[in-house]
Amino acid sequence: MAYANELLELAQELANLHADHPHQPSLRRAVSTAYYALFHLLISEATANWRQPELRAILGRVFDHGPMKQAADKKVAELNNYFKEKPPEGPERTLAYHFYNVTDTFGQAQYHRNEADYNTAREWDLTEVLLHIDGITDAFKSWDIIREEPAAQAYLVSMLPSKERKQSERPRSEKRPTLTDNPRFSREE
Amino acid sequence: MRDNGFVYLEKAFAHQAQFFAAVAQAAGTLQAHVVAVTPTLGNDWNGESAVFFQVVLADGMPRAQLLALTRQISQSIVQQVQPLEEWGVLPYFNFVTRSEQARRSA
Repeated sequence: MAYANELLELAQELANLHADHPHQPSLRRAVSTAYYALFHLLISEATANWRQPELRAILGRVFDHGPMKQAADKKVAELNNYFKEKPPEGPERTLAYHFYNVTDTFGQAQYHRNEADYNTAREWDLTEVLLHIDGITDAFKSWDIIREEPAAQAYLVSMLPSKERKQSERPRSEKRPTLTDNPRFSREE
Repeated sequence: MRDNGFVYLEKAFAHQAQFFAAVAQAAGTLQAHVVAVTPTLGNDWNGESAVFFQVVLADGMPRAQLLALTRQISQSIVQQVQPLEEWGVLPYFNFVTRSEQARRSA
């Protein structure tokens, strides 16, 4: 977790390098670094379960952005359904809130990281960059609260790339055919 | 060769007017600090159908309160509109203050 914390501190420093005017390269690196802080936090938590410490970094390389995003999206959808039922106040709901905070923040942070790294047309402001960093700092705190929970440990495993876990797992609204749909000429015939 | 395979559109794309109306209705219930909520449909960096909410906030909010405010706003929109569950699009949020938005458009 030390590396993840260092990345988070670095993100803060980068954001404030030119606090008096929006210096785009620094702000972009700050957004990207903040995402990587959360990315490495979750990976280090997953690999910490491996008994031999010297192998954890190698194991960590198995994790990838895409499957981790899919795992986050899936968990957010599950938690949205849970909150939709308006559960009563209590420990279960509190844990669900913190879980949501971690997984939703991860998905948002990955999107913003891609924007920061690749969308050069987009301008960043210090306020929104600091807001991203604050959000990830808060996700760190939420993770610290739920990290020993069985559901949190299962979530770490769900981040692993898997052939069975495809995009079709993502909850979708009802499919609607378009003008190009023509079952009479489908490829199966 | 002609490809007659199925092409699907998520509900938010197929029924944009209804989707934007649902967003507008949710935006109407938000706090006074929210100046505007603008949804844009597209694809995220993974190619997934997505909606990008640009939320303009009033100036003068202390930094210590901004995070809680933005969380309330995004959760309120997500719970009311249910972009993924009802409309098939992943929601992403961008928050900007009114003065920052004005500076960008200047």
